[in-house]
Amino acid sequence: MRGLRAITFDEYYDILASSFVDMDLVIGSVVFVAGFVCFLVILLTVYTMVVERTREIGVLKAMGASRTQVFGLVMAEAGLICAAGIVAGFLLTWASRALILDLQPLWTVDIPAVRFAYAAALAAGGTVLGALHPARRAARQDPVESLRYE
Amino acid sequence: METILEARGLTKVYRTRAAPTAALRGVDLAVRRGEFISVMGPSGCGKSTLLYLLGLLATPTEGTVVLDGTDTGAISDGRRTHLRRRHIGFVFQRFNLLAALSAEDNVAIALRLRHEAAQSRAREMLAAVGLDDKRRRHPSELSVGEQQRVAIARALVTRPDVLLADEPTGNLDSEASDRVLDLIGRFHQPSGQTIVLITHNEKVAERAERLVRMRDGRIAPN
Repeated sequence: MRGLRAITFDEYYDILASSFVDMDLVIGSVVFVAGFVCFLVILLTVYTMVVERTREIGVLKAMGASRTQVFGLVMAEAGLICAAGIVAGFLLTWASRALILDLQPLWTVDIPAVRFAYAAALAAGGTVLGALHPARRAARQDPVESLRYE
Repeated sequence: METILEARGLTKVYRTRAAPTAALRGVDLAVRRGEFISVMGPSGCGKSTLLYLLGLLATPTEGTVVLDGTDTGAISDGRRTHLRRRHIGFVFQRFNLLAALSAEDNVAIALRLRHEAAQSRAREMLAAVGLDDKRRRHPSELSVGEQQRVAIARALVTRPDVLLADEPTGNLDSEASDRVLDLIGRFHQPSGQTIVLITHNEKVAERAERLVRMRDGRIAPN
């Protein structure tokens, strides 16, 4: 028939696969932006926390806290923020999925477990990178200047 | 008695944008084990700088501090931190308690930094300063006198060789001030706790066994 073109199943599969490549690119970009935002949020949060606690860090150093201990404390706190974020993210995902399935029962929302692992790894990576600089700053703070900080 | 803490020719110059300022100019001071001394002088005479140097919180421009036989001038920052953790306890004018922690946890944290069992000893120490019933309270729920007693408990719970107190009664009224000084004296008397107390108050200074006066960054002759 004029105006129509017949394609084989293999050709159809190739067309479909190439559109998913484009989709993967979009998703990859979104993930990259999300990772960068995670890094920035953690950096700002932990940096602010370190500045606000300058005096407390001075007190810990006066009590004999080593640089490693101060560094570890800051990283641990960032880790807790990250863990809370991961849990909240998973809960939101689960709730969104439940809502979608409630509104559109015929849709399929399939999130493989590995995607959760990727998301957690991304958050953990962003946290480590974001917290590194403020934690190093806290560890190297001069105790006397910290104690005099207003 | 042996010397536990010694300042040898301590000089500290702060380099500011305007001009270098000498806070200490060649201070020599020896503190014997078990001694209670007070360092007195007007504001800006270098008392606090001397305390920070004796407590290994700062490094001198010239001279050295010898703590329990170790010349701290030639050791790494990590080793100085270790010595401070093992030998020194600090009490500050502004208490410097951690606001998010209870009184008990404020005391316990000093032990946790040393990886030692904390809670029961912290409770014992709070009982010793008369705050057993307020151990779960946070600093904001305590009076200033009580906060300073928690700070003293925190400084002494690790049984340091030397307690360095920087104007510990500076923010207290006379009644709370007397209680804190009585408490410090009580720890000095039976156990022979070495104490270096910085003050600008003559009455507070008189509590010590020996009074050292400072002026313009130097020890003033008696």
